[in-house]
Amino acid sequence: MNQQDALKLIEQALAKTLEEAKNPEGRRKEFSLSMETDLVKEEILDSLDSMVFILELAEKSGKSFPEDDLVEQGFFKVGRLVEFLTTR
Amino acid sequence: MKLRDIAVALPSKRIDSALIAKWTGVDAEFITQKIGVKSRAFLSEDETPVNLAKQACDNLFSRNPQLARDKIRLLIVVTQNPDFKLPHSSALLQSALGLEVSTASFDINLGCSGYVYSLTVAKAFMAAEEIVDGLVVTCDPYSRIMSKSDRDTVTVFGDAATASWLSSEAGGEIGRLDFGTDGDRARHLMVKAGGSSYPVTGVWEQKPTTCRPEDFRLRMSGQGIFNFAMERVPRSVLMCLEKNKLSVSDIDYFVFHQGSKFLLENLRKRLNLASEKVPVNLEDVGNTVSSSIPLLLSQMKDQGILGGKRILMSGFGVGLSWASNIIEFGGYG
Repeated sequence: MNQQDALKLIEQALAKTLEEAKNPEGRRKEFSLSMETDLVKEEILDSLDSMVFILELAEKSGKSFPEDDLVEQGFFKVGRLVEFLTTR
Repeated sequence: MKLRDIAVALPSKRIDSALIAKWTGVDAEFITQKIGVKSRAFLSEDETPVNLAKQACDNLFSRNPQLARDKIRLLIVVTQNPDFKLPHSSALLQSALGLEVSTASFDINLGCSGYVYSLTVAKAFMAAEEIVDGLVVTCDPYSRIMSKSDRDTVTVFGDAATASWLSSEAGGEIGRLDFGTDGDRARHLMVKAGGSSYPVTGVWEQKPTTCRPEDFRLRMSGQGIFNFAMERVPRSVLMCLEKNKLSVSDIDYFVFHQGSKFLLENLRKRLNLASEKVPVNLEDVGNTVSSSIPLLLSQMKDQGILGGKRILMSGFGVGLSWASNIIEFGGYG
């Protein structure tokens, strides 16, 4: 998988997660991504939605993500996700 | 073997989510809206799990005057947080309830899947020994193993006890069990110290020095548990239906372990179930571990909505383990 494909997958997984996590008024969180974006620190995903996102990404990519300390390992930074998806 | 009635007991100390928010720094609205818990009860310092379990049993006897204590021959307590490391809590409860010494009393060491497993264990034991009346009791107070600042756990769990009357004569018919274990993921829900790998004491004195206070507390990996639940529970539901020669449309209610509102909502979507078929009762009790399914069933029974219904229950958690089964309530809902 190249970098562009990885980014596309991340965007798709994120869009699906945020669609499911609409707020009570039915509004979806807006986001724009760069390699520097941290999805959790920038509060695009909360701690629960981040789990849905990782599972979604794992299912879409066919890759097994670690299940421990994903925040500590920097897994919610887009650049780290792209690296994981393209090099393993 | 049949499930005839269920009674519950909650500890007296209620804790609302505003206080939990103060302890953890997690937004109270997040706890109530996404985790789904407004308040929960914790054992107070002078309450014990066996006291609470006794209250649940006493409530069961009060509701059912025809249930004679001297006729009970089986007492199972489902817990991983007993009053003492030994003896087992069921022995203490047998004494507290004044049950006959001829009662078989043992604990089942399982978490959130424990109630569903224990019904099948009781069913088999009672059939093998021709026992008419037995009790399955749940009481696993996580308030005793959580740190009040641990946002992963203290926002989610609450304490409760339940007592279920199993009878060979009447009640909801218990079906065939689907079950399994994914021990590769055991670390995701764990209290590391206190067992024989990290003992408090022993004849060799090196090990106790390696235990830190936090090793005696519950550690939970949200991602590990979430992935496990999304992978295993839908499959278990379908396997359970197959074993019982049923389909999704044959089930009136899917009674899942009440992990969190967020988890239940994601399970419901994965299984494509209508929300009215997936009852949720977290708001005032939280995730009560092995008590969550019988607590919900008890509330549904008291609301009169189980009569003539067929439910599928599924418990999942520590181990990581899972178990799903059917109960046909007929006229006993």
